[in-house]
Amino acid sequence: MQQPQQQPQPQQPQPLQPGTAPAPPPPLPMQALARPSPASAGAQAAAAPYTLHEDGGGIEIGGWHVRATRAPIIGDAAVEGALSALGGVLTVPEILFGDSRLELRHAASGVTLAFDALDALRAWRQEDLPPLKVSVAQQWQAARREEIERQAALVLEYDWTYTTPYQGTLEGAAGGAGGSDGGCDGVAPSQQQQHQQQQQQKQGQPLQGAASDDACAAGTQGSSNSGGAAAHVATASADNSGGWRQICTSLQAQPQSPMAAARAHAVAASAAGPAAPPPGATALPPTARAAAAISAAPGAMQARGPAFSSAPAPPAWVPTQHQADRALLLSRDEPILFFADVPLYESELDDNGVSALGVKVRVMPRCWLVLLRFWLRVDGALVRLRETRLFCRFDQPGSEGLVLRETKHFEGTAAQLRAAGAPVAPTAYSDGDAAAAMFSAVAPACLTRYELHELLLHGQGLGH
Amino acid sequence: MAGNSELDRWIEQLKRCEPLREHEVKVLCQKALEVLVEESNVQRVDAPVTVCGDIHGQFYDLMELFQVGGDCPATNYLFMGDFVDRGFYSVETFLLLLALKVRYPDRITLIRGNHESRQITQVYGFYDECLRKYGSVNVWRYCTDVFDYLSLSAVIDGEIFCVHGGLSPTVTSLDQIRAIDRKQEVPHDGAMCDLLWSDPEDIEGWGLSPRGAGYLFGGDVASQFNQANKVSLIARAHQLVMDGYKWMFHDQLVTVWSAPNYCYRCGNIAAILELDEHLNKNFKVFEAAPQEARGAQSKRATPEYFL
Ligand SMILES: [Mn+2]
Repeated sequence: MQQPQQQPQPQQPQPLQPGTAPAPPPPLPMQALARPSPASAGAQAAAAPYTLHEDGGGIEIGGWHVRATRAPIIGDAAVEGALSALGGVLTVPEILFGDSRLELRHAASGVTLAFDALDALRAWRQEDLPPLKVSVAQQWQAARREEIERQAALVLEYDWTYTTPYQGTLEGAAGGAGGSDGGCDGVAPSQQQQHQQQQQQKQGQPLQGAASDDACAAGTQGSSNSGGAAAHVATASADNSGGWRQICTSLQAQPQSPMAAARAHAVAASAAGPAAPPPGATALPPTARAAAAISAAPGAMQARGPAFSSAPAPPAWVPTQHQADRALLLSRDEPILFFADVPLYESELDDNGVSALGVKVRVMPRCWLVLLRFWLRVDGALVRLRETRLFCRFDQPGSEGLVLRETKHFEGTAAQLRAAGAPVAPTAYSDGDAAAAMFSAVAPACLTRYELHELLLHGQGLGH
Repeated sequence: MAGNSELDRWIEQLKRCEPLREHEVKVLCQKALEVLVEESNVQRVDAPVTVCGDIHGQFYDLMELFQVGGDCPATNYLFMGDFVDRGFYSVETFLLLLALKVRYPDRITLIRGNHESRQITQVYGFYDECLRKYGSVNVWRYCTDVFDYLSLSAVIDGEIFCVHGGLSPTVTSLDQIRAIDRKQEVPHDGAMCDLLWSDPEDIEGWGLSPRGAGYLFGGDVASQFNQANKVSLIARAHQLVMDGYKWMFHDQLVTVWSAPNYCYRCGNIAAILELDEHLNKNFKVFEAAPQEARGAQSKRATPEYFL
């Protein structure tokens, strides 16, 4: 009698991994992980001393405090809170790890790189892609056209795939980042961008449109040096404690038209159209919550707390040529001191595929690597992958203040996948690793975005 | 044909999470067809009964459910579909429920979920699991033939309407459900599809999913249906709820979810709904069995040289 299998997932080749890469060393036993250095990394002259958190949830090393929190999905009450926090949307992913979080705090500057499901969903609302249709939609609707019209069914229109441009949240504590006025001196790119940001605020042109009076809706950095390929939008707000937060996204820096901002999220499907609902149709108008979804402009949800213009200017991601040190990441001599895999949200799309956002971190004696990955499979219709990698090495003087970021987007409709020689069957994309391996195999086909940025953190960082 | 002693032996074996052999599955499925073909699309069930939601192949959690709710046949059960897919043990889970159905046809009712379908199981796990465990797809074929005969809904004491997904705009009376020719693969259109796929939502009237396929129904729709059919409650499954059950529409509809720590990572609680002979309601909640998640947990905790 066959024993049930535990469904092991074969290790998939990763996009950055060359075909000839040596197999990674076997994972360390937990005992080895729990022992403080430098014993386990004695061969590394530059290896930093480190302290693991007693509960196994974090590590302090090389001027960074890394902390991963994994919690169960949130319950009904918290989901209701999330729906309104997002401006009155009708749904959020049913598997929502709203209390989970990964954060990496740069001790010298007090700046935290955080990864959080709610911020990712704020970015989802901001991008607000037009709704995809599942592969059976035409067939399904054709068979029911009359019925839909007779019922005056409310046609919901929003991005049900929860596709997000989210790249993490930058947070600064009061008196943390650039706590002194001199904190920004001598760092040209970042200063230049802050200047742009301030200019925009003075001109009263927040790019996100309908922001309330007490909010600073957006700071936008256009690409100043690479032909517009690497735009970056950060949504910033100050919190009550005097700190600040920026939701970083890969959205292109394009002003959103008032029309787009006011785009309805629900319209009536009656033959007469939304302007003239059929008499007696109980389906119209939508209930309060659906109505809120209609009126909620994408910018509205970012309004929290006072503008940060009075707070120290936050650091900013700027385009760069620098890339992560692959040799260091592939090195067999770098044991993983800390590892965490933190799912942020997932949706089964009502059995039409998978949408998932998660973040992984591994911390080695000389560097850390973060992979934030959104991936989407709409069965028989589309596969989408958005990856953000953050890398920091702390084995050279001051290098711990420089974080490198690589952004990679892939996307293929069924027809595009077929044309690229990739499989279309949903079973070929059982998880994010499988999707990444497939896109890697057919690249540059289906590659829709590739960008490099860097973030310079002050305190004791470079340039001082 | 399988006698009671053979069925008892199979049940014992399946309760140890040991799948039957292929020819045994064939016999069991044939016997099941004979039982199920007699059932109505709106199966009549008498209280007391314990109503359960999605299981999704989480075998050890199903064992936990029986611990909490009592063994079958001592407890009368109604399962509202989605026995297979997603979890590691769809084969053992479905065969055990089916063996219990054949052995105690009046003490367990199985109605069809949207995962009890050829198309869906080929994507979400059951097909692959059959292939892996048996080396052929014959067991998958036998089981999916049984799926076609599963009832579509149930009514408990004429008071509580039970269905996997929800309502359909083409169904205003239970007689319209009774008239469906259910013995087929779940179609893309019509009432049968809607009953297995639709969801309640905080809207008025009917809604069309932004996906372009699938209905949503509001509280007024549920009210009208309940009044027209003289039932007080719609019990359904199909949607994950953190606390195992969720009331909607002023207690006219309840979602019951019976897969704890769904997909080995959600950390949610599961529930079953116990109804006594007066239809008093008692939710029993339970957490995941320790055995269920072993493989998945160790996978996520293992340091990984990702790039
Ligand atoms: Mn279901």
